[in-house]
Amino acid sequence: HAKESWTMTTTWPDNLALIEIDRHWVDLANKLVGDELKINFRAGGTLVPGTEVFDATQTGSIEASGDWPGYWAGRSPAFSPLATTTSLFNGVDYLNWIQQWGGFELYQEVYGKYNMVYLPYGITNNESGFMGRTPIKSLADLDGKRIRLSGRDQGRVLEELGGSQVTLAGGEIYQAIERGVIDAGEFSTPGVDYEAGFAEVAEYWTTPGWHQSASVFGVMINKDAWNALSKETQEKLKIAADATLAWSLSWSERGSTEGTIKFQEAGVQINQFSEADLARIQDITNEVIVRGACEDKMHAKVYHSMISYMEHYANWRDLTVPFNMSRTIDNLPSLKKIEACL
Amino acid sequence: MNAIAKAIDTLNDVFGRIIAPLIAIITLVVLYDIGLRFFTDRPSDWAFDITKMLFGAHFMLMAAYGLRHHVHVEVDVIKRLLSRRKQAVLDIIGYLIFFAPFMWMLISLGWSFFMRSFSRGETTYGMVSIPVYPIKGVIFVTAVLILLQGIAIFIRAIQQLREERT
Amino acid sequence: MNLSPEMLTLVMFAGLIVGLFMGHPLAFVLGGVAVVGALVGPGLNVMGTLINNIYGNAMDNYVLVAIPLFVLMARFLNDSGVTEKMFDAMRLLLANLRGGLALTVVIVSVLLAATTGIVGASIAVMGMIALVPMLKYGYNKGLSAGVIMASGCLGILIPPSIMLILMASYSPVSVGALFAGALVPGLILGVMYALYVLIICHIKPEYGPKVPAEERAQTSTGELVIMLFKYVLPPMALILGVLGALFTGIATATEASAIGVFIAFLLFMIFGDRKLKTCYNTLIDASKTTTMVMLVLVGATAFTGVFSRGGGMSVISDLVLAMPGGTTGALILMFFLVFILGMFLDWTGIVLLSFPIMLPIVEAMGVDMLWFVVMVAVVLQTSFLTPPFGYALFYLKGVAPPGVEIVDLYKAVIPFVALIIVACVLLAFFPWLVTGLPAILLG
Ligand code: NA
Ligand code: NA
Repeated sequence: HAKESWTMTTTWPDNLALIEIDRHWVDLANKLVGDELKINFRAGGTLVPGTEVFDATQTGSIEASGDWPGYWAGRSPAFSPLATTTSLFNGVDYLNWIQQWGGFELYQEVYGKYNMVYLPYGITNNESGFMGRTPIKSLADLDGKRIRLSGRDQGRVLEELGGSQVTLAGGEIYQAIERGVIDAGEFSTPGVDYEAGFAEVAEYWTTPGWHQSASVFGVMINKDAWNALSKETQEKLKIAADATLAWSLSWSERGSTEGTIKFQEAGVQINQFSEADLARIQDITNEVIVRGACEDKMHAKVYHSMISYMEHYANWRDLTVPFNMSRTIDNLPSLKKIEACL
Repeated sequence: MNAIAKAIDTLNDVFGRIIAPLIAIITLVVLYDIGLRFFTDRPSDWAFDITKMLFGAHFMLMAAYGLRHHVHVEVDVIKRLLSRRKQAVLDIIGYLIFFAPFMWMLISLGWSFFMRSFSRGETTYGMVSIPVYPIKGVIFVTAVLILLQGIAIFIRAIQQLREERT
Repeated sequence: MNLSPEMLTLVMFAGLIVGLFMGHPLAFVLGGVAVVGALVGPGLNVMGTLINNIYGNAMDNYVLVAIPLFVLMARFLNDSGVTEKMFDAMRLLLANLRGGLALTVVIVSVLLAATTGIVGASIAVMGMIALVPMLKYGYNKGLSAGVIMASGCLGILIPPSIMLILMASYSPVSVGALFAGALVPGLILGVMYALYVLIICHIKPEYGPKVPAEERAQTSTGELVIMLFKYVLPPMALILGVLGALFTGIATATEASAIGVFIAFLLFMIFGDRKLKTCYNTLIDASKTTTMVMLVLVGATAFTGVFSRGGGMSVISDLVLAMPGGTTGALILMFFLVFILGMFLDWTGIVLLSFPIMLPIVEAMGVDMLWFVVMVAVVLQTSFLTPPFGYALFYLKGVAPPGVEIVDLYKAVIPFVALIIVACVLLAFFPWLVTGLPAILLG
């Protein structure tokens, strides 16, 4: 029978589709590791509230927990780019960066300060965008609108664009859209948003989700629990994470596709920001990223690594258009300015 | 001994009377945010977090005052039927086996909970960075205040026993 | 020690009952049993989650802000003197109807239910404003307390409701569908309570006495109309103000309660004594009630966290899996389990513990998920009322005048728990009472 037994939970409640990523890794890991380890997985909220899993894993009250790193950005802003970017990375960029351009090591450095090892095991590409009962067809329509949006960089960009960031408890978003407390709100990807019932209350949906161009999920593991494992078992957990990473990308794209069709069938009207609008968002984002990065050294270090990757990869990527994998973009946040803040 | 119990009563009385008006401030903050959003389309970027923090601090920091004034829920169906001496015995047992372990945990774990947040300068992650550690420290402070009040009740129960004996 | 989950479940529940009847404050019984349970069960290291649960579930929880706000609203309303006079006026208006005041409680509670989604809030509000007038006019203690507690619990069934929001996030049903699905059952319960009041007062006239003819004669119809305008309209305006803010999108459900405080404060300034000292005492009283309600939650969340971690969930899961065949039998057993759990745990714990086990079974049986979740919500109404751990009982005891004992309250809930069970049977035989409205509203 198993030598080690872990209790693991996640930030997601049972019915939020994102919990499938955690489950996929747990199932795979339990199959691979054999007798040395048994991971007992429990849905978010059943052991510890979702907002407290970081602290509970850090202290070893539980051995591991699935998460989205952005929730911990109050502890260090560096967690924010480890979780998502405003108008910068897409899903493949995260995959490239984590596996070949030094991303993985940065996760260890940031989480390591809190006595944890981190295995990124989920990537979802672009989020839905804004859904609500007020039509937003262009940036001009965003002026004076109240938008439920999470994140500091995201709020800063929205403010520059003339909108206002509204903070709401997750459970209140649905009703806030229905009653018009907010003009629009963002929550997750189309598949997840549809399951949460947003098609019942939203009449309009504006894409793309520039506020969260792609997202990363993973598992925090208490370092003492991790060190108690053999090298071989640790390796197997990493293999399970890599496999889940690839699986999650296409799983979530499939879910987003099906979700989008359901939104269309429900009669939700979809608007897309124009290229000119997106270019303006990019200009503002680049400024906001530099400003945020310079407020914290580790934050700057992560962004420096990410933008360096974008510049490096561009050498080959741009030659492969139209068969390229990631964003072809030259208008990036200034690497020089961020370097000055390191 | 009685002087200690009285001093604890006074401490928690004064403290509770200082904390109680926070409930009005919470109301004003929420009203301010509603008003701002309704009239200017520009909600405040701190009201949500501040409201939540004040709420958490308010009811926790009022707990010892509540114990002092016997507002906490208790079921005295059986206890009322007993002699004062037996009531004192029940109090002593209850405070030893339920209250003391719980408070000890809240104090020791509450302190490290606070320190983990304080040592990193944890803040909220909104447009404005508001320090979170003062609110996390509230658990520790609350537990100390409740423990003190529990000690006052304990002292009185012991005195009750002594008086009955003499 | 490392007790088996079965033993741990027994030890923890036994500890709860012993501590409760020793007369120790409930919050510390719950917390103490959690600590001892962690020690003898899953071990010392899980106790870290004690703090995480208290902080994350009770303190760092925006929607609970509605509790202090509603309590403060009720206190201002009380201090304005309007509610007492409102009950006087309603009593004279319904002079010839036995149980008129109890009926008023049901109606006001249903209206109040549409403004808040937190159970502690509505019980405290109704307990503060209604119990004293009813006892003053010779209403039966049990009927008065029972109707206040049962109707007060409707706040969490009639939308908006924090319980339904949580249930939606743990089941494949949207918040909107749940809100729509729970509305009709909530109203049915309200009607049943009203009918019960009328019938019992008809059978036993002394339960809800009529106004003596000579007393009624002292007030002319004209005077009564003025009284109604002066003292019934203001509280109604308050409720409509909160509802209006909610439905026009001025405020979220949580924020709307602050508007309620504002209107109640205005009423205090118009009808009350307008003294700063009264105002300050109101803040103190409201703070006491808030800490009373919240500290029970602090203890409960600590308890549930350890209970769940210690494998209490798997004990319940085994029970469900061992149940005899047949969809009907399985459903009845599951509702019965929720009912039994409701005697000991708060609704949050029950939803978190039971949904992950029950919903897959329900799905496999092909039962309508929306109907099942609403049924659980209705059954959970009993969890607030059933001894030994009924939070409605404790909250009402906390605000009740001297002379109302917890034993009185234990007896008072019996007919209302029976009515909830009758409602469940009704909803089981006519499932469209649950699924009909969501189908119309959401297609
Ligand atoms: Na409600
Ligand atoms: Na109960």
